Amino acid sequence: MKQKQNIEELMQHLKSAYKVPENYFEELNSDFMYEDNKKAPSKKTFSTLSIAASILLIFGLSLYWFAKKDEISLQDKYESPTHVSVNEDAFFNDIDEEIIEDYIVENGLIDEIYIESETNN
Amino acid sequence: MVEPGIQAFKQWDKGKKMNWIMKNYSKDLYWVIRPIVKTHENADDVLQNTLIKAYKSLDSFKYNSKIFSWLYRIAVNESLNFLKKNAKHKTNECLNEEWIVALRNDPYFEGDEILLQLEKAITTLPPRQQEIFRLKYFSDKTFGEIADILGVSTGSLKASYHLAVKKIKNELNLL
Repeated sequence: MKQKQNIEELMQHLKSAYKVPENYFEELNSDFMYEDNKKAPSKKTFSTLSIAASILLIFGLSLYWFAKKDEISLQDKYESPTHVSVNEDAFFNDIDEEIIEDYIVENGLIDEIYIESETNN
Repeated sequence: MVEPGIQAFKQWDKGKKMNWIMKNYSKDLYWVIRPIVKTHENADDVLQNTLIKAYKSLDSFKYNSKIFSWLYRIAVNESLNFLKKNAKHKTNECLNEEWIVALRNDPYFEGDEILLQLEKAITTLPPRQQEIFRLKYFSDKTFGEIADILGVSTGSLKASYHLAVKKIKNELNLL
């Protein structure tokens, strides 16, 4: 053991052995300084966590939205209808059924046509 | 640090009071807390709790003591509460050992084994003697200021301090 017999001297060594991260107090003060009497000081770690949680939430929602969007477009793309639902009144009032049916079926666009009543929706 | 007159301080709004405290005492409070809770990470946590508590209690501060004495009490209580939370079902000896290990692993502690032994020796002192010892060295307070903060006479404070020094020397085999 070194001959540091003086308690005062030892205590000074001990104190200087305790280090503080650079700019710690400046950062602490800027986090805690009360600005414009609007914001009460809050715990730095808590604020950081809140920001992180918000970012994660936004990221999660964005992913969900993109997933849903992809799901819809995939359905549109790959699940092309083998039958078409048509509003019955509109169909019979405005369009000649046979012409349309013949045209669509003959051209191989769909296999067959189902006429769907509004009440069955 | 010369504190503003109590009357002037009372007139300030809460924000101004808090800013003044931050500007003048955050460092002092850190050095009250750090030697008690050892690592920087713990000290940062406890200091933030102390500042939040001080802010919340500003309205109920009765101005019966100096501002720093009041803040000091909050800081020490917060530090002791922190230690208590970590002390569940552990003996003092086991705890002291744990703190030394934590300090040894703290990236913000650069002490050698002798200083770790000194730290360990301080933790074996009775709480009041530890308080005096740490205030004297870590906060650079005079005996008069420490007596003021702790609300004791300078005479009894000096007696406690010398007793503490003797115990530490004994612990470190420096007698």
